[in-house]
Amino acid sequence: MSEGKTNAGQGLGIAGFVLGILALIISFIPCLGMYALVPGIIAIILSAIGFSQASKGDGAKGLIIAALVVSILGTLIAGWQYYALSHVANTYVDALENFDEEFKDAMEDIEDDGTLDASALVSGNEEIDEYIKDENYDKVIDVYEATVDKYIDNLKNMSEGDLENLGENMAAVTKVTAITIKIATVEPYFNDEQRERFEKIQKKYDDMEKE
Amino acid sequence: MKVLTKKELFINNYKIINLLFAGIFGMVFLYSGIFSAQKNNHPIPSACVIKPCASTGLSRAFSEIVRLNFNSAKKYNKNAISIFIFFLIQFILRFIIIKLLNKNNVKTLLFYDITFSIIFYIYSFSGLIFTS
Repeated sequence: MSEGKTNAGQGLGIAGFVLGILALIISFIPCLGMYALVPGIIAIILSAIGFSQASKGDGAKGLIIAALVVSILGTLIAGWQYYALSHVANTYVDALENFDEEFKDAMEDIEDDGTLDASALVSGNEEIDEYIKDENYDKVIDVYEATVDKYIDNLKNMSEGDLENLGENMAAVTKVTAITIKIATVEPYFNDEQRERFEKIQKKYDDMEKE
Repeated sequence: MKVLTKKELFINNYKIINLLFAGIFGMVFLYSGIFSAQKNNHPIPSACVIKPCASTGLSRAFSEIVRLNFNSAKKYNKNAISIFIFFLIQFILRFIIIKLLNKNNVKTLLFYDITFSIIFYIYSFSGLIFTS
């Protein structure tokens, strides 16, 4: 280290190095990482100019090369974070764009399965009376349990970032509510086993809601 | 243009870099002191706009730490204390290095500084980096 060198490009090299290190520190942090693109890109520009000045003015290049390496690394990681976050954001946007269609389809499926008509439950028309007349409470509870299970599965998937079933899940909430309204009208006719089963499913649903 | 030996140049640069980092860490503390978690008046918006993530509440937690409300800080962000300690120790370390730096120990100091800082960074930020 005894050879003489000028300080050409050193100021820019130092600035690039400090910004590069900051970019690298921030880039690893989830969500926040993409903001490291700003200091990272500035650091690359400063370091590159510093390198050019050092080459022309016989300045030391060690620090400037270190600044370039650190800032490029920080920028690359920040770029990856940006890509990952925008991918998640796009998934949300797609899910919301398809929401209306999915919701309508899911509601049609509910009506097509023939056991319960959610809109009929709310309006209280003749179809409800038909279900009550059948006294097929086990089947009603079966449908209720299947709907609650599906809703819970969808919620778990959503919490892990899977939003493909957003519309279907909203429909499932409507269906659970509709079935609960229906069951409230026929609950007095349940036998003990049916009531116990119904309460268990309700508890499962409530626990998931709290979670 | 002034000609220096490579070592002199390196020591000068190292001192400036340490001073700049000390300044940046100092500004983090100043930012935390000026803005308060109770008033919720931090000007930098949350980076987690879709749902809360590992870094959510970090500014508010730092504001609580500088006011010595450690329990409250943990509620805002469970990783905040270890990250704050990283900044604090790095802040102090920068001044110690500037004080100790001379021609005879520059390589040793640089080696220990880099090694310690990387290991300490991974340790302090691991909760933030590896949890989401």
